[in-house]
Amino acid sequence: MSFEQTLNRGYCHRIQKTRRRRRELRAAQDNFGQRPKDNFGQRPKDNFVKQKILILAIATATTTLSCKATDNQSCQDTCSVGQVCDTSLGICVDEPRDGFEGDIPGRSVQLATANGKVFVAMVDPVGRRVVAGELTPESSTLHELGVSSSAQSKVVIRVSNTRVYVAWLATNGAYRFASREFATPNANWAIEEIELPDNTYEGSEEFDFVVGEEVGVYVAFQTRDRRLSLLSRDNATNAFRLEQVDDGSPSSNGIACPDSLRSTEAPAGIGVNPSIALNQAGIAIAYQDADCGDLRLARRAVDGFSVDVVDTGSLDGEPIPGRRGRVGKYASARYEPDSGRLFIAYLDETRARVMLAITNDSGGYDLEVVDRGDTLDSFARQRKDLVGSFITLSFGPRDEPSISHMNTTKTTIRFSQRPSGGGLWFHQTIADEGVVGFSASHVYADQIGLVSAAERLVPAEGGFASELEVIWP
Amino acid sequence: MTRKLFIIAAVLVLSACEQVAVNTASTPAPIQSQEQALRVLVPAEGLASLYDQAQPNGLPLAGAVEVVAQSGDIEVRLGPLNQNLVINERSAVSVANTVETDNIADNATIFVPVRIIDGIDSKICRFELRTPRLSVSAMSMVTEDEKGERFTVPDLPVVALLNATVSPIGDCEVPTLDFGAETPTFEDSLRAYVSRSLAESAQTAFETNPSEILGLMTRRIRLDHLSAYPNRTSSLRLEGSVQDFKVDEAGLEVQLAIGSDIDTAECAPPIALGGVVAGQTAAIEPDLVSEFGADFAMAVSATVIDRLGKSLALGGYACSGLEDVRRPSENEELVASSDLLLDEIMLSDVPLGPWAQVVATPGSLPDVTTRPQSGQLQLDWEDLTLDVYGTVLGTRVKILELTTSASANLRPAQGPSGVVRFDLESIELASATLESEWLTEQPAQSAVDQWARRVLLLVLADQFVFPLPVEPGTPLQVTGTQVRTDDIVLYLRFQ
Repeated sequence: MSFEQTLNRGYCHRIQKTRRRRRELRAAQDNFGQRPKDNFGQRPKDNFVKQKILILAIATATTTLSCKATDNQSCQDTCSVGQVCDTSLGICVDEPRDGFEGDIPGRSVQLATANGKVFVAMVDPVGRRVVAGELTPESSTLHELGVSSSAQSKVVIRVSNTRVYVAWLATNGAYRFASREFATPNANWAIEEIELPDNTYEGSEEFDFVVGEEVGVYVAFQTRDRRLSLLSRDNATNAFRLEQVDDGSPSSNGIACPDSLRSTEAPAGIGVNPSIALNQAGIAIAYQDADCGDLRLARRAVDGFSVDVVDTGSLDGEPIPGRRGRVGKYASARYEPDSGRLFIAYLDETRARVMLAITNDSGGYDLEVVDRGDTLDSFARQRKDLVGSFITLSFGPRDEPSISHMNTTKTTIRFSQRPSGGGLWFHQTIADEGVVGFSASHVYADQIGLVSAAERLVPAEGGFASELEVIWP
Repeated sequence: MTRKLFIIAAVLVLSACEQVAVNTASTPAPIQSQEQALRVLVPAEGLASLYDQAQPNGLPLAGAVEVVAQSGDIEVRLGPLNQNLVINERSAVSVANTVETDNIADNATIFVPVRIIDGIDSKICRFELRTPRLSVSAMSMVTEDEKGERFTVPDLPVVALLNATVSPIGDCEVPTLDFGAETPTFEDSLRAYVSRSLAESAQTAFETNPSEILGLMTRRIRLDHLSAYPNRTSSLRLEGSVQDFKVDEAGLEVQLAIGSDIDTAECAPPIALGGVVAGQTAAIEPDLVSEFGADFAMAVSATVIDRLGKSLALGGYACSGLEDVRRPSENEELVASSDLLLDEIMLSDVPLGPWAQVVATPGSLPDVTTRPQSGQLQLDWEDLTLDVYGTVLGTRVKILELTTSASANLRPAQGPSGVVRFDLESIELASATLESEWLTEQPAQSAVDQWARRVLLLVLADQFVFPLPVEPGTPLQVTGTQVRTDDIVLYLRFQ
């Protein structure tokens, strides 16, 4: 394989790979109608209009376990999801993962970091493959972990002290997660399916996933009946259990969703865009009540969960009489490292702005506007950009709250940051060329700094193709 | 009333669904007025309709309790009266500063309580007065005082009860007493009581304020433009004042001056509004009022329309779109993506969801002029920007930005109650430019022009519906319109 590296404006490093052989192969596939289409009904592109925005894969054909068995032995038990029978040993082992080859897609991309490494997970809309691995400014090592339920599926990537985890909704309606040690080069991905003893849950794309100490695993998700539930196990040896978190009942802080809004013909329900924050204090889940357009927060209580309505969208009073505001989409919840306060960044759809809610000492929430999306155009008119899609909240090296999101008016990645403890928000557009910003995500990596990623849509034959945009410091 | 929803006189708001809060303006700052902004004509035959509006449930008949006979401990009392008398026929004739009205009620029945007191005993029963024809003739005079210009009735109206009969309802025997020389019998006394009460009631009822009935703006108000987006909010102060109020053989004519003052919204281009130009309205032909089946007519000066159009553009009323975030079944801003025909401008490959939204932002202030030959208003607007948003990967994304100068011909038309609708009959564009991050190939200018004209027609076709320049709630319907050189005349009928 040959590689070439391009630099974009000094901070955006992208990698390009020669693809002649692949093009030839694809042309042949197209001719025979074999190559799959993505969710837009398009085949992946072969020719890019903007060469400099190419993000190309390093296809790292990875580990395939060599099998030199001399005497074939069958495994006694049926191997579980993600495992195959090693007939040389007669035991189930982790199924070797195919290295991902091709243009790196950016659908639903998320980043995670540990030990100065940057990990990535995304979906390839062509073939709905879940792809994950490690990124460096110069290269990437990616593997196919499975098949997602749709071309627009969500994936979640998290890290523990030793392992990196990737979760997604499989085609059978169950959640799966893959993990591997990140300190060991070429370590295998182990895949596990979240199962209940009575097999009584059906997942949805509205979910979030975290890992805690002792491999505790938590999946908050919207059930098919549009309520918020939690799948969890405290440690690797325990079985998963399912509990209901929020069924839309009046909140603990006394704010209710009127029946007139809840009882529509097609209720959107509770638990949209859930985001889990985990620390010693316990688990907290922020999410949208899509019926009422509220941001809600569920926290573990003695007997189940205590649910608050954090924001109804009516911070400044009702802007339009008789119409309730709409907030809470793209919620991203994190505990501030030092103070332990819970921060929730979310979209105020009514005003198209980014908001931040912070728990305060009186048991309530302080709300602040992060980004109004105001801009001055060439006619000296103050225009309103739609900002706040695909929000990711994290804390910088000095605990400064940092939020990446998409400006969908300009199709750019926006990054907002303010000092820890308060102050003015500083805004920066970190990618502004072409159509970019979907699934915007970022991490602060040790020894590297701020790394951002998003999905870029680029013209392709018969439509637009998904590519990964990574911005290195 | 602290919140009174008044007009916007012939406002050029791009959306009739704009959210406006109307308040009484408290600022003492002077507002420059445009004189002869509005001229209202209520022809003589239409004056009667003013009283119909003032008395929608009929003539309120009230009468206090009166003792009509007394002898020793025995006393006969009539009243009180409290009923509405349905007027079947009303006519009016106007002369200088005077309106004479005849009001007829056919087959009227008036119920009169009767109380007969005998010492400590008291009996109550009811009588009814029936008449095949009851008439009340009143003469109203134009009066100007601290309440403004209005009609008063200096003399008691004349009441006639034709062949009125009086009979008890149920068993009721009235003692024979002396009811006086003028009304020797109980029946005569009851007829006289009803007549007197009717005249006094009519005198009160016919004292009216025509400006109020017509919903004309005669004070200073403030219109606050409400929006979820702070850059679209503004405050417009309007002040109306009666310049001339006269009654003659042609009927009632009122002329008003209107002043306006605007705090510019940040989404509007920072352009000065310019000095005030006096309005001009021509006399309204009374015959056309009846020809259009209207009760009255209102001429609105073209210069006033133009200035209010500019004021409202500065006030952010022309900045619209993206404020409705409700679901598609409830959302009033959505248009079908397929209706946009994006393939004509090389954008067919954009992976759009089924719905799109259009955002309008003015880059200049509109010019409104009349085209009396064709009966149209011409709206010229330079640098009008339209942004088209669609749903991509679950979020609203701007697909394109169109900037163009537009010249639209609008024809005023009949509309539902309370509004005047302008049909967008044609639109011409100039200098249309299209920008999009999604374009892989620039479409031909002719394709852009054609597409822009079509999308403007699609987006704007139903947007030119404006509140009538009267107090909302006034039950009026436009029955006809007339575009003249200096004004536009709305022919209006009470509903």
